[in-house]
Amino acid sequence: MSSQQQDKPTDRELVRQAREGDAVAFGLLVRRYQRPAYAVALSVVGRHEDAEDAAQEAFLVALERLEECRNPDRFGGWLLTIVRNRSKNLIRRESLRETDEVPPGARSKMPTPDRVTETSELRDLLEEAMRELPEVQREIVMLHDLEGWKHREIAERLDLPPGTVRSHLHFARKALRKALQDLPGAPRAKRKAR
Amino acid sequence: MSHRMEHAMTEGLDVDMQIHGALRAFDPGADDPGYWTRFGDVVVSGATQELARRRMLASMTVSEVLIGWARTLVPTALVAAAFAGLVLMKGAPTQGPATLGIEELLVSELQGFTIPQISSPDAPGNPITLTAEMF
Repeated sequence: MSSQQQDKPTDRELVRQAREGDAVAFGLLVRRYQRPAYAVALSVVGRHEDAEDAAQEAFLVALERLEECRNPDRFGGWLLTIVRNRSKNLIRRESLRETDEVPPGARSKMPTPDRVTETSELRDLLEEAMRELPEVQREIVMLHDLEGWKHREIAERLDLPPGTVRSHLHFARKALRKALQDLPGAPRAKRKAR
Repeated sequence: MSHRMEHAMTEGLDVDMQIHGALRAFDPGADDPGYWTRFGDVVVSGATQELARRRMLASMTVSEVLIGWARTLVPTALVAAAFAGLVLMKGAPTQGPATLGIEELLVSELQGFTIPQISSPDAPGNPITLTAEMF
């Protein structure tokens, strides 16, 4: 373990300080979990704006209920449960599933024109394939492939057995690969042309 | 490792890289480097009040907590007591009609009334009204 990692305050320490109103500690918790919180929210609500709202609200709810976090070492998992619940409430409130929404990537803040051209087709396909996945698989793919969490971390924080995480990831990726192979110019097509 | 397996793994890796690249489009910070800083700032600034409340609670000693409670409780108790007193005073019977049972009526004296006055229900000033019959 590097000295940098050793110096990094644990979730338990940060939670204890945040309980006493330490804004810096709370800020560190936010910075540590904002991306996974957003990823989980996005995998539930499917829209950038709603995911942003749900994730931000979840942090505030978590702060208000910090005493209910019985195991501060597992703050991340506890927070993600709040994020998931807030996101589901948001869906219920706005009946998002009944509407045909713009893909989340397209709603991301100001993508450059080049990037849009490069990835829009791919992203649309991926977006469609993601929608077909069960919610838990969407979460796992986002946390693993977007946030870089390891199987063990995902298992701990989603309270799932590591084998289940691996299995979900395997099936999710298989479905995504299949979707991407249908894309003209996908790796297999290129290789065949060689 | 067979060539086919190697090929399959390379292909899988390529596609996973492609998945990874495409997933990056879902990251609002990918094209907006300041996004996550702003995100965190919004959360922390939204938490200002709650954090201040927690700081205040954490800095208070036990006696301060008790004094704080007393500061709230004592005036509330005083107001409640005053209100209850007012209600009791208002609700106290002034000179309303006395309700007597039949047995009491038989042995009590109604001064200033004659028997014919009492036995005639329609007589003006008759102090007796039959309000309920209980068996």
